[in-house]
Amino acid sequence: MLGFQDAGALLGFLLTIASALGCVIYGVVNWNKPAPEEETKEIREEQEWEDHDPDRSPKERK
Amino acid sequence: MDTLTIAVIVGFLVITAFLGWLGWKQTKTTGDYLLAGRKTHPVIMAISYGSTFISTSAIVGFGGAASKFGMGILWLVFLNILVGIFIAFIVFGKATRRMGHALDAHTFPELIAKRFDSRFLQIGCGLVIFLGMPLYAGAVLLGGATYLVQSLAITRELAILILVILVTAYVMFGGMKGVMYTDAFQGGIMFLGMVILLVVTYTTLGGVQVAHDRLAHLPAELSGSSKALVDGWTKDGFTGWMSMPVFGSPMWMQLVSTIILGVGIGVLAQPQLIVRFMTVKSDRELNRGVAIGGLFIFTVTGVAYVCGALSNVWFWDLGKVVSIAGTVTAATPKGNPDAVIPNFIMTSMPWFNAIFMVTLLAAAMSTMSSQVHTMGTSLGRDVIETGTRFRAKKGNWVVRIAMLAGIGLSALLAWYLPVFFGKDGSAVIATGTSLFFGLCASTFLPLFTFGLFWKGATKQGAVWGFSAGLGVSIVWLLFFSGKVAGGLGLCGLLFGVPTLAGTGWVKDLDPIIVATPIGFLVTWLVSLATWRKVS
Repeated sequence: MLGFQDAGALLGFLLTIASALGCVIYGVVNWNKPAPEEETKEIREEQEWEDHDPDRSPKERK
Repeated sequence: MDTLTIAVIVGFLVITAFLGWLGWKQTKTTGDYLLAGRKTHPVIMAISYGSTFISTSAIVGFGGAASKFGMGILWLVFLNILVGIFIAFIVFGKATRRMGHALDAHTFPELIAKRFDSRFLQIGCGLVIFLGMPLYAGAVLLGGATYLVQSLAITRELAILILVILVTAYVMFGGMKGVMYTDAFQGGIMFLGMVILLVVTYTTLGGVQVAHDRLAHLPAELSGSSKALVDGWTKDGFTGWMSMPVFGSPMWMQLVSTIILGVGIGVLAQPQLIVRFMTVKSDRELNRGVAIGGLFIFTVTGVAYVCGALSNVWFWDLGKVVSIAGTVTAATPKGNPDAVIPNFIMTSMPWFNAIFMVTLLAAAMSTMSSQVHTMGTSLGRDVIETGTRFRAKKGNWVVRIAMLAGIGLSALLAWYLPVFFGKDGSAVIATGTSLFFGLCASTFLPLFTFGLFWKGATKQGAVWGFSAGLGVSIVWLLFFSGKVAGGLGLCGLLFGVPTLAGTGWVKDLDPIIVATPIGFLVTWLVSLATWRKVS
């Protein structure tokens, strides 16, 4: 099939395509998850985490 | 270099500098950074991941390796997508993001140190990264340099120097944050460049079915130096470019244990990618990233490997030599897989040269910016500042000096790797990358995995698991691995034989296969034994 001469190489080829498709489907289905209220909480956590980043100067950490 | 090439490169550098400046200007405060991030298109976020993960090492190095190993190397693309994107984002990414925020950790060694309450682990992980990552960064540099050498007809030393200057200026100017736009721009160029390469390659060779059939029947057509070369591979297990090597043969072991598993699994424990999960603002970004990241890896790496394998048909039609036979020189009598992709682009599609050069510059810069940042913070913050409890009062000059040291070490390895590995026709770039990925898997993956998902993992378990994984890896590389131990010569000096693993298949095993399970086992057993004392 498609010029492949053994099942090992063919399976690698098919699994590569299948996994890429799987990723696209998963991403599209979950594009807007988690819900906005959950996201607000996560963004607050992120801001607190960023505020402690030693890479940023105190002026940047407003 | 013609005017068009110069114009394209200058245009690329100007746009990169402008986008870097734009990102930097828009992100003065944390709030700006996050708000700008919320408005940023998820495609930009996700391509930035992909362009950091995939570099010249994958395109030139592993693409070149594909011209020897054939389509079996597509298993690596599958693992890159399944493990490097899906499992990394959904399973590890979400847990890492939460734990990073809960523990207020900003580097990978800091995350490990805070999870296990161990300064030893922070310094140890920092040292492994600083000393090991130059292998990978050196491979990325070498990937870019190999193309420059061939397309500009300059020496390797000069090509490495040009890249080092570009990357240093870029990293020092840009830093880690606010580079999302430049990463995405560079990722976009990589994506487009590779799509063009795929379409042109298949069209030139008469379509998918015809090209694959030609490659499948090529071994039977060979004659002259190409036949002699491929006959040599056949003794090592080669069965053709459209099939896997003989199970258990040296070539199969190298393909499966070093290239496919080493890089496929090792990606989970890559410090520069793990840090990215901590800088994502919500799980939603990770869900979206899976779609774009999967598609990006599929296109960029998949195309490089398929074209690497198919280049054999092109070169055979052109001059009756297969890809690697065409790269034989006095210095590389068995050919140089790293030169295959540059050769292929320049002979089959010279009009594509300028765009491909920019594609590779983009691939090298987007990956090296985070590698250099990771090496700098590992030595600067995790080793020096934590080890000596010294904190630079003004700015982070310790980290900046450490970054320069990391770049220097990487450049040295980019120059030295071909001298060390290149003699026997090895895929040097792929080997250097795989060695570092394997080292990360065996030393970091056990404690990282248990640290994220098992409350029972203790400090003693982590320390012993780290030491066991690292120790076994080093001993294996120095005394058992046919490739490295044989090349270094320490084993020969002490024991009178190139490797203690004998002449069978054991010498072809990659350290990842031996050291990672031992690391997991030791972490688990010691944690079980010390659990009660801790609680």
